[in-house]
Amino acid sequence: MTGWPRMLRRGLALFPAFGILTGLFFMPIALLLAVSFWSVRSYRLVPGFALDAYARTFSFYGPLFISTMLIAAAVALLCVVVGFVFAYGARFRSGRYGDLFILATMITLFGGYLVKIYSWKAILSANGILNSTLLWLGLVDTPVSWFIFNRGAVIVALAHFLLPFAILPIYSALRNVPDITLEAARDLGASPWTTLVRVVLPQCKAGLVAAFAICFLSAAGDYVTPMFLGGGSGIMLGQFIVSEFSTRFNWPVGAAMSFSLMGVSALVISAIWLAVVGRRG
Amino acid sequence: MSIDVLAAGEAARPPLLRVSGVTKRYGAAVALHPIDLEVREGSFTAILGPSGCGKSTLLRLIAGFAEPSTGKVEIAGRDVTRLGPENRPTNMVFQGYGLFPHMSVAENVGFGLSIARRPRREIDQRVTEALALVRLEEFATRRISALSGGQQQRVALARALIMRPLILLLDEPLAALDLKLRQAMQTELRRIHRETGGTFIFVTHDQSEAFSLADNLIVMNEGRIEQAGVPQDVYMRPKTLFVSQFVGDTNILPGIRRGDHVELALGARFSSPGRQGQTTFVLRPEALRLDAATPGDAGHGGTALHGTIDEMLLLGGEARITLSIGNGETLVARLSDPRDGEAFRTGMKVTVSWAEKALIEVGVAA
Amino acid sequence: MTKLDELLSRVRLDRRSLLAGAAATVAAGALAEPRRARAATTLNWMGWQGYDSPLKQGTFLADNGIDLATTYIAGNEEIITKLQAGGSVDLATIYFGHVPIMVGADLIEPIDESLVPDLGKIFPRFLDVDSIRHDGKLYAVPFTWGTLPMVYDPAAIPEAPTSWKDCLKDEYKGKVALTDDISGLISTWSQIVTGTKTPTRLTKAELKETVDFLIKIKKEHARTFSPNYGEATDLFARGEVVISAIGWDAQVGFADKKGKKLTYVLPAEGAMAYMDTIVIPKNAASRDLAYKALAQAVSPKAQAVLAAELTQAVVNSEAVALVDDANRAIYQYGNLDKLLERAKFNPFWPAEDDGTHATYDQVQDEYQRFLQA
Repeated sequence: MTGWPRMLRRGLALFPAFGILTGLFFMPIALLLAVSFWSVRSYRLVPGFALDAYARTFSFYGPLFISTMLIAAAVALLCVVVGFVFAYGARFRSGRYGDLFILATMITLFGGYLVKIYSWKAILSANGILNSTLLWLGLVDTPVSWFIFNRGAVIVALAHFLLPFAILPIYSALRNVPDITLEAARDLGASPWTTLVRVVLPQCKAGLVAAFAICFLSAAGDYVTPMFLGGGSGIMLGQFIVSEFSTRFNWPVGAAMSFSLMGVSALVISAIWLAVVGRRG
Repeated sequence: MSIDVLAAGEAARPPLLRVSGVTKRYGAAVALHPIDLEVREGSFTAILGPSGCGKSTLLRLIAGFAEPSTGKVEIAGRDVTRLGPENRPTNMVFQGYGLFPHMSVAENVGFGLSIARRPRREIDQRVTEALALVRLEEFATRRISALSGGQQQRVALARALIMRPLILLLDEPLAALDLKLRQAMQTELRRIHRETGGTFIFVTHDQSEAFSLADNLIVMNEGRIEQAGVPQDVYMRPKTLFVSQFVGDTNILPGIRRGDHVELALGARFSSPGRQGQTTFVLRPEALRLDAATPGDAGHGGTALHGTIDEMLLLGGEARITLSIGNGETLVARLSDPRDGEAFRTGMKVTVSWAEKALIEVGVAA
Repeated sequence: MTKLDELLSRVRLDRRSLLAGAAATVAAGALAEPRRARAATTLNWMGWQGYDSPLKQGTFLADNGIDLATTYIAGNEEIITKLQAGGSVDLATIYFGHVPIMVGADLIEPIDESLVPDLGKIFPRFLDVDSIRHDGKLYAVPFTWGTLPMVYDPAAIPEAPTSWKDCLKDEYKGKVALTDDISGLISTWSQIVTGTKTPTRLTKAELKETVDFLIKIKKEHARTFSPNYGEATDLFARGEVVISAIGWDAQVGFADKKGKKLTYVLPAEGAMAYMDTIVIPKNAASRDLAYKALAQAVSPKAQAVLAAELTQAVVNSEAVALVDDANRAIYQYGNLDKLLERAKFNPFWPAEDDGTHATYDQVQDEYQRFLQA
C-alpha cells in the first residue's frame, strides 16, 4: 500500500525527461554503436559483429588520428593560455567591468562559424589583410603563401572560434577565487608570479581542465575548418568521417571512426583531469 | 615561539608604529582625515568604530595594501610608506581568513616560509610550533574545508604568526564566529598575545570585544580618531558625545551654564565653572543610584531628582530601569545586581542620585 | 546579396563537394521523413539541392496540386541506399553512371517515353549515352550535363594551354588549383599517367600509379587542396592560382558573377563529361505525378531556370534560346559534337571485383590515400 505506488508515481513523473534524453541522445548513439560493428555490401547495411571497421580506423587512418589529436591538443592549449590571460584580466584587472568584457566575448559567438572561417581566409590569403599590410610596410616583396592552407592556419582559426568557450569556464572558476587569498599571499611575501602559480592557478584548475576539454573535443571533431583553411597538410579525421558517411556510404567505418575519436578523446581528457585536478576534485 | 623583540634599554626609542599626518582620498571622497597615531611595542591595540568610519582603511594603510594620499607610516623607526605588504614587517589575519582552499593546514601555515625558500626542516619545525601555539597540532594534514570557523581562524593566526611579524594586524578577527566561539577565541587571542609577546593591532566594530582584548583603544568616527587611550579611561572619561554613546550605554543630559553653575534640562543644578552657554553632559546608567526613600533627601553630596519608574527590564545579569523625571525627560539606570531591582516596581516613585564626578562634560552636542 | 547569403548560396551550388552541411544533410535525409501533405498530393523528390528549382518554375506545382517533399543528398549513393531500404521516392536525380547499378538492383522502371513530350527535343548526344539504356529501353532521362576541363585565368595565361601537363610547368608551381573530385581527378589523370583508353577501367597497378602521380601534383604543384569548386573559383578570383589540374565548366559562370574573367580549354588528352539524369523508382507511389514532374523538369522553361540559377547546362535544344549569352558561351550548344569528342562520358567504375580492374571501393580507398598524403 505504501512504498512502491509512490515510487511508481515518481517514476512516471520522471518519465518525460528520461524519455527525451533516451530518445534524443542515447538511442541514436546506441544505434550508431551497433552500426559500427556491421558491414556494407552493395549499398546495403548488413548487421553482424565485425571489428573490420575499427581495424580500418586504426590502421588506415592511424597517422591521421594521431595528427588530429595533436592539432586538437594544440588548439585546446592555445585556448586555455589565451583564455586564462583574458579571464584573469577581466576578473582581477577590470574592476566592475569584468562581467561586461565576458559578455562582449559571448557576443562574438553570434557571428557564427562559417563567417569566422571566411574572415580568416580574408586575413591570411595571398591578397589578404595580413599580406597587404606586410607589403605596404615593405617587410616582404611578394605575398607570404604559408599563412594559409596548412596546419597552422587550422589551429589559429579553431582557437579563435573556440576561445569564448574557454574563457567562460575559466572566468567562472576565477570568480570563485577570493580576492583575499591573493592579498594573503602577497602579505606573506609572494611575488605576483608566485601568487599566480601557487595560489590562483591551483584554485581554478578544474576550470582550466574544463576549458581544455571543451576546446579539445570541439577541435578534434571539426571538419569544416580544415576543409577550408587546411589545404593539403592541415587535414583532420572529421573530414574523413564525413566522407565515409556520405560519399563512400560506409556507415560502419564512419561510426567506428566517430566512436574511436570519442573514446580516445575521453581517455585524453580523463588522463589530464587525473593528472591536474586529481581524484579529490 | 616568540616575536623578535628589540633589545630594551635604548632610551627614547621611537614607538614601534608611528602614523603621522596620514590621509586617504578616493577621488573627491575623503576616507581618512589627517591621522596621527602611535603604538608602542607589545601592546594589544583595538581600532574601534562603526562601519564606514575608516578603521579598515587605516589598517590596510598600516599593512601596505593601500598607499596614503599624504603622510607617513613608520615601523620600528623605518619609513615604510611606499612599501607593499610583501616588504613590511607586518602580517595580517584577514576578515574571512583568506586561507588557501587547495592546501592542507600545514601547507597554509608554511606558505610564507616556503616562498621565502627556508630549508624544509626549518619550515616543518616552525609549522609544528605555530600549530602548537594555536592548539591545532592534530590538524596539520586536514583540508581547510574540513575545519570549523574557529579552527580556520586559528589557522589564519598561525599562518601570520609564523612569519614573526613586528606587528600582527587583525581585521575583524572574530566577526564571523558565533557568540560562544567568540568568547573562547578572545581568551585564545589574549593567551597568544601573552605567549608571543608581540604587538597586535585589530579592527572591530564591537565595543565589548575591544574592551575584553585591548590594552590600548582607538575610537574612530567619520575618518577621524575621536579618542585614544586606555580602554577604562575612554569609558570613564569619553571626550566626545560620540565616544560616550559608542562605548557603552549613556544618558545624554543637555544643560546651560550660567556663571559658575550648570542647570540641566531635567532639573538638576550644580556648581561647575567653565564655558558659558549651552553644554552637554553624559552619565553612565550604572552611576545612577535609586532609592525608594522619601523625596527631599539629597544627602551624598551629589544631585538628586524625583522620578517615576516607567519600565523595568531584568536581563539576567543586570536590571535596566527607565525613569521619567518630569517635563518629558527620561533617564536609564542600570543595577549590576538584579537583586537590588527587586525592591522596585513599575509606577513606583523613586529618588535618583549620582556622584557629581560621574557627570562628564562633552561640550555642545552636534 | 550579403556576404552570408553569398556563402550559403555557394555551399548550396557545389554539387560534387564535401559540403559544410554534408553530415547534417545525411542525418536529416536518413532520419527525417518527408513532410506530410496537407490537401495536395505529396511528391517525394530526392537529389542535389538546387536541382529541385526547375520544378518550382511557374505555377507547375500549384496547377497539379503537388506538395513537393524534397530530400537533399550529399552523395548519389544515398539514393540507392534509400531505395534498397524501401524508402518512398517518386522521382530522383542521379549521376548517369549509377543508372546500371539501379537497373541491376531492379530499383527503377523503364521510362514511358510517351509521357515525356520534350524527349524529342533533347540533344541526341545525351540520349545516346550507353549507361542510361538497358535491353533497348531508356531508364533515365538526361537532365543536365557538363565537362571537367582545364580552367585557367586568361589574364595570367594569354595563350591557351593545350595539354593537362601544362599545369605542371615550373612557372605555375604553387599556382595550380586542385579540387576534391574523385572521378574527375582519377579519370582525367589516369589517361595521362598510364595512357589508358577507358579511364574508369584501371588495373590496380594503374590506379596506384595514377594516385602516386596525383600526390606529386598535390605536394609539388598545387597551391592548396580545395574542398569544392566554389573554393577553387575563389582562389582564381584572389589571384592565388592561374591554372588548374582539374576544373568544372560551371566555374566560369561562378567567376563571372564575381566579376572575374575565367575561361577553360579541353586539353588534347581529353576530359571527363558528366550527366545527371532523372529516374523513376519502381515503387513510386505517385507515378502519374512523377511523370508530370519529369516532363516539367526537361521542359524548355524549367531548363532555363537551371541555367539562370545554377549556371548549369541545359539538355533541351529549345531551351538554348532561353539562356543567357554567358551560358551559351560556356556550354557551346551549337558545337556539342566537337565538344563531346574531347570530353567523354565514361562508364561508371566496376561495382564488383572482376579480377583485373579496380572496383569503385578500391578507387575510393586509393583516393583517400591521396587525400591523407
